Amino acid sequence: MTTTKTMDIKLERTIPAPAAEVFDAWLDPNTPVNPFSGAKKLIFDLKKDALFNFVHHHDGKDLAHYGRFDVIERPTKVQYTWMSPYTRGLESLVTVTFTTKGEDTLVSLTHANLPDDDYGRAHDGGWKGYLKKLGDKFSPGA
Amino acid sequence: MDQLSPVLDAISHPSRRAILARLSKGPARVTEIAAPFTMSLNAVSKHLKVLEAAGLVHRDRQGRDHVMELRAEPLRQVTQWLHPYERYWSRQLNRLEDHFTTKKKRRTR
Repeated sequence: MTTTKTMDIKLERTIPAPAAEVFDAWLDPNTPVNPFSGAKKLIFDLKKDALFNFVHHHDGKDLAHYGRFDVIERPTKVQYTWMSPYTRGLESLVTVTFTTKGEDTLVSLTHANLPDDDYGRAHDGGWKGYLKKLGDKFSPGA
Repeated sequence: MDQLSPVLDAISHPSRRAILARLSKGPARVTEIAAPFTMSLNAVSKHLKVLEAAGLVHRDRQGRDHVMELRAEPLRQVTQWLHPYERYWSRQLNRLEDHFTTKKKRRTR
C-alpha cells in the first residue's frame, strides 16, 4: 500500500473589520469574498455535520468541490473538510480562525492534508511552470 | 510584512545558496564558511546577515567565534508558495481584505 505524502498550507491576513462581520462574509455565498460565491452550482447548508457542494468553471473545466462543516463557532472559528480534483480523493481539512486585534480581525487559514505531489500542484500551469518562474527570478540579471 | 519575501530574497543570490549548501552539512564558523570563496570575509558576513534576517541561519556566539547553523524551516514557505492552494487561498483573502477596505473607506467618507 502506498501512502500519499501530504502537506499543509498556512496563511494569515489582517482584515479591517470586526470578527463577526468577517466571519459572516467568509461564509456568505452572496458576498463575493469566499469560494462559495460565484459558483456555477451550489449546495450549501451552514450547519455542523451538514454538507456543501459547489462547481466552479475554470480553464474550460467544471471543478466540483465537496465538504462537510465540522466546526462552526461564530465568530471565532470554522472548520470544514474539502475535497476537489486537486486533493486526489483525500479529505483535506480547512480551518479558519478569526481573532480580534483592536478594530481589526486576524484571519488565520490552515489547509491541511493536501497531496504534496505534482498532481496536487498541477493547477494553473503547474509545478513546472512555477519552478521555471522561480528559476527566471533567480537567474543572473533578473 | 509577509514572511516569504525575505526568504526568496535570501535564496536569490548564488553565493547565499552556496553558503546554505555548506551549512546543510553541519554548523560552521564564519571563517570556515568563507574559506572556499574568493570574496572577502566582510562580503561573506554580509551574506550571512541576509540569511540570518530571513531566519535561515542561526548565529551562536562562542567567545570570539561565531558558529552558524542552518535553519531550514523557512524554506518550507517556498514550497507552500508553489502550491496551487496557497495561491487559491491568497486570492480569496485578497478579495476579503479588498471588500472590507473598500467598505471602511466608504464609511469614513
